[in-house]
Amino acid sequence: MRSRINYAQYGDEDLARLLVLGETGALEEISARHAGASYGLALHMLRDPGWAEEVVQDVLLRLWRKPDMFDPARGDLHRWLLRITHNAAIDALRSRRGTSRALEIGAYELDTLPWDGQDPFEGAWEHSRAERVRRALAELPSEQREVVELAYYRGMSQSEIAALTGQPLSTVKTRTRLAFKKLRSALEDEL
Amino acid sequence: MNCEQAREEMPGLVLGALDSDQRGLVLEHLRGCEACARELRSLLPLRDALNHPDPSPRLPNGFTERLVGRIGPAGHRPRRRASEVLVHASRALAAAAVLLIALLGVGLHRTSSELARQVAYDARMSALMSRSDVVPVDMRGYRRGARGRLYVSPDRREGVLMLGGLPGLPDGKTYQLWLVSREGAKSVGTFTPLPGGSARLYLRPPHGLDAYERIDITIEPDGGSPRPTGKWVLAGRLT
Repeated sequence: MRSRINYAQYGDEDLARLLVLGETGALEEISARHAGASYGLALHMLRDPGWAEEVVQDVLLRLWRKPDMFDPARGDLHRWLLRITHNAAIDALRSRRGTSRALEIGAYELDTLPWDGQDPFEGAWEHSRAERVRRALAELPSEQREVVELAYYRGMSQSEIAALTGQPLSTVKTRTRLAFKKLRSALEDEL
Repeated sequence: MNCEQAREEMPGLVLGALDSDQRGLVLEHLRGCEACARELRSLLPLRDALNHPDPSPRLPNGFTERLVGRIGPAGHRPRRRASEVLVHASRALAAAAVLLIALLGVGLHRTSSELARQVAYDARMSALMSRSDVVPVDMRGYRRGARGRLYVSPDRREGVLMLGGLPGLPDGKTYQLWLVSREGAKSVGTFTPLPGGSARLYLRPPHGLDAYERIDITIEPDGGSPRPTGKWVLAGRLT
């Protein structure tokens, strides 16, 4: 009688390789390790548990069907899944809003830029870094926090934010830059 | 767009909030400016941090079961029909030769310099490969050009593994074959391909191939390892 492989023994990179072989156990292990964070991000963006679950499952099924999408040379699986989840949630938001601009350009094209192989994080995600940025985001002046949240978590362009808030585009850009400066310094303080 | 203008737009780019024409200008600049591309990369950890807005996310109950339920039978890769296989097999058989240099572990067929035993293996392989109901299992290559296919007998007690595209290894390294189950990977043995990179291996594990979920080939130190330590070359599902 066949016994199941213990997939917990494998690292993420090996699990991704096993997806190529169609091993559902590898997908279950990936889900157990990483889907919670992806779900948290999708829920934060979509504010609907059912919708968030659907988006995250779609992301994992895309990985299942096309495991070669993930290239371990360009970063770890956890962060990659989060980036894809973010893109998928933005697509879902825009689809519901009826806007057609392809949002994936923002994140995908960043990943196709020249890459020197150096990973600023050099390894596993550290919870404290995310916590520090969350705290810095919460402490931003409201008008700066607003532009970051509308852009990153609601998928709005700076022009759309300007129209929504009634501010000039230049003001939106300035607020974004100021917000980023503070968020970045929060991250660098810890590095 | 110059460097100063590009850097002013980087926060909007990282947030995915630039309008398409502006984004195109920034990306065009970045592709030609390594200093600005480096500056952009330094901002990516911030994007990763923003991807963790919830400090303690929890999956809904039953999430993984529903996920696996969505895969369904379509998730499994179709197998080739036996009639297609035999054509490929006969070509491969003509080109390949048996190479079992050393065997470890689980008591499968052991390497032998005895010609009679080798001939017996060849006879069993030929008998298996001549059957019309042999079941092929394609292996996934993790090295450029590496390919493998396991032909499994209908009763799943034995199989012939045909390999190709395996480059010669440096001194001190060898290929090692593994059968993997929940208990871990059991070594079948080490082997050396022919100079052309092909090999043909006969497998008859004591409890049949159904006792295992996967067959792997790795590169290990000479003499083999008790468990896989090196890079994967090929892997195939036995389910």
